[in-house]
Amino acid sequence: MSPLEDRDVQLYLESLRNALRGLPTDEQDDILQEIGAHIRDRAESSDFSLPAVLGALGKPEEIANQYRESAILDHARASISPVRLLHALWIFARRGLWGVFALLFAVFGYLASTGLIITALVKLAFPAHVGLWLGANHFLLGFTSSPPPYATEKLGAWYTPVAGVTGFLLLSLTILGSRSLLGHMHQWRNGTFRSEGSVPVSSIGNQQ
Amino acid sequence: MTFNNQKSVENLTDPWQAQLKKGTLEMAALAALWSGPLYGLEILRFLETKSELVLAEGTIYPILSRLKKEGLLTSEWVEAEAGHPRKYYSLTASGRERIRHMAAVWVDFSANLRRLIQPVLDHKGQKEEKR
Repeated sequence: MSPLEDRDVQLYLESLRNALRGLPTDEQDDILQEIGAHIRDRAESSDFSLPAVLGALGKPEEIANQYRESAILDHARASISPVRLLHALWIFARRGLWGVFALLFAVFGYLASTGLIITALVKLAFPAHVGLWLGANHFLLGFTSSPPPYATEKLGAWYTPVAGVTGFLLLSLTILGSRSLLGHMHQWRNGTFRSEGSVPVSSIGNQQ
Repeated sequence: MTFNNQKSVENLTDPWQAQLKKGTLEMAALAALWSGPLYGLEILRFLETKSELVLAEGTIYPILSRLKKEGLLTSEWVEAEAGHPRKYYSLTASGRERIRHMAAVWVDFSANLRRLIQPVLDHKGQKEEKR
């Protein structure tokens, strides 16, 4: 009987398939074929019993997690979607302090930049309620229902372009910064000490 | 089904050692391919005979996949005359450059660490002599 017909092996591969859900189907097939070949080779060529072969491989969920995390990070590093970037940073934030800092940086960046951009637009509709008020003990930036009486609004009609451009720059900085942090943390986590830039995409092989 | 084996139980007792192995597994996998293409299990066997690096065997496959995405490796399914197809990995030009660089950094790094821990090793020697 081929080792792949063994019930435990089939259960193992089935758990792996389930845990890999979310990855492209051809990648799932490729991984299952490779792990299947591993099990066959180990079982046919050594004194390992099938349970020992599966035990040495490790839990299917752990293997799948490594593939999935790697995919999430790859997508996030090429993405501008806040959902993807924050999800990837969240994975690192659960691992250690640097991840938490990176996540806080990104959350602050997204909130501040979208706040600025939104108020830049709202200013057009409610010019009296949006602005930058400075007074002896007052600092107010953004939207307010009752403008403070002891402070003067400094920007006037300039608020929209100034806040819009600043918000846009901050948003770009947040995206680029998050991507760069993800790249660095990915390397640290995997223990490589990469000092030069990342490998150019053009050199990535596509052979299957 | 049990997924425990002696190896992983031992490693759980020393997280530092496990961390160290994890951190160097990538370098070891690249080094294993220096002399030519190998498939996953051959890489594992190579690492087993030359070192005690491997934790769970399954972890090598996501690492190989990532190295491939980074452009350091290519892979190819090769049909065996008898038996089943196997996925062979080989170093790309940037993979060769990378492992060369890693090897150089590693030699410096370990020589420095060796000097650092020399007093510890000497002390151990003295103690044993006294016995």
